[in-house]
Amino acid sequence: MGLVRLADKDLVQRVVRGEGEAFNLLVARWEKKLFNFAFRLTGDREDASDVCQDSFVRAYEQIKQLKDASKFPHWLFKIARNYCISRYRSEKKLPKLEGPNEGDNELDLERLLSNHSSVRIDNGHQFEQNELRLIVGRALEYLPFEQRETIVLKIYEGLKFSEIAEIAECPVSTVKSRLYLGLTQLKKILTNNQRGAP
Amino acid sequence: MNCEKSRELFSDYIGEELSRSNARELKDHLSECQTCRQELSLLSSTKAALKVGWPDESIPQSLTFEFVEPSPQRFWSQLGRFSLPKVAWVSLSVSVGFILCLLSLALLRTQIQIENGKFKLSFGQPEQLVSATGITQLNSRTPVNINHEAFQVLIDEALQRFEQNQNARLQQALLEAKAEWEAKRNADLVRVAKEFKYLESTQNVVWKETVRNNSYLETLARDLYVKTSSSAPVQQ
Repeated sequence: MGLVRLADKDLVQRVVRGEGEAFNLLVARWEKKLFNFAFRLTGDREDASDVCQDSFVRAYEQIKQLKDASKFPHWLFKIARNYCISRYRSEKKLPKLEGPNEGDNELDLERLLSNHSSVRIDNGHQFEQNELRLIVGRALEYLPFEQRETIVLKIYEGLKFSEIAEIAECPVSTVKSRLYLGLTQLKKILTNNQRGAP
Repeated sequence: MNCEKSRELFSDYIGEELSRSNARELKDHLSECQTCRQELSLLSSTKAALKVGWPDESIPQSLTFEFVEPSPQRFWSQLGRFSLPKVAWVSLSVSVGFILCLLSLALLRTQIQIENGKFKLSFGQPEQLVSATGITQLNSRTPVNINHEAFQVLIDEALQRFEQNQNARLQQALLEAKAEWEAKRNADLVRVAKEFKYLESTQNVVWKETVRNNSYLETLARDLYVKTSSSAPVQQ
């Protein structure tokens, strides 16, 4: 009774003591966030559902290893992120984990832009929601995994740089650099950069 | 501040983690540098486009986990292991030890006499037996003679208490099991209700799609009819 009002930290402690209902409450609180995080990383709804479910199962199994109960959400995101990586590595579907070199980058951008040559965000052009959703999805898919992950965690989830660094296991300066590089790539795609225009 | 230093702060600005002093410096630079101003503006627009372009979506189906807990049938098997607290184990051992002690005293036909504060213990046939009913009449000045029948009474009482305790524990375990079963049943009912709601919403969507498709088909048919009738040769 009254579990709903408890903070994540208290719920985690109850789960450690063996209260299953407390865990279901944590699931209800975080499943939508986690699903959207996985969806934006994988680009596939079904994969995102699977990652979400697997992550919660893993979280329950390993919850006793969580040293700071107040960091449950970040710990959960980290589990999901590792699932996304391992899942796509095994299926060889994960886009390049290393940053693309400049030459390939230009070619791919040209190809991508040729499909959406009319897309601009700097001249007040209003997109249809579906059109923008498609472009954003494709643009994110194009980015290297680390940049995509950083953008998803910062722009969509609103995490701090230090928290992202903890999840991605890298220095804060690297996270900032990934955000800048990722956004610059996306900017080029979304603004057309005057190259796809006839 | 130069353009290179300014770009290092773009991430902080976009991520809304720019310190006051850096914000002031960046503002000064942007007021002078149109290139940086334009780039930061585009990065901000990109961020906005990302957020608007891909809003949060609802999860296809909510997750609920079921946790397997010990069933009531396993109560006794657990009781034989570690389900009782330590205190209960200690009291149980003391009770059993006491009963065994009384039994052995009874088997040895032990006589205990207390006379003028002196304690006397003897085994074998009693020299002078006191009936079980006579015990109640004894007082501290009277020599106490207890035969094995009196011990038997004590043993019976102890056994009866032990049995009562066990029954009480069994009753409590049954009540707990019942409560647990009811909680599980309620959870199941809630889940079924959720599933039903989801099914209902799915049906609703299908129905709407059907209506939309029908109207689309009707429009198509009407257009086709109009086109056909307008292009048909006029009969002279």
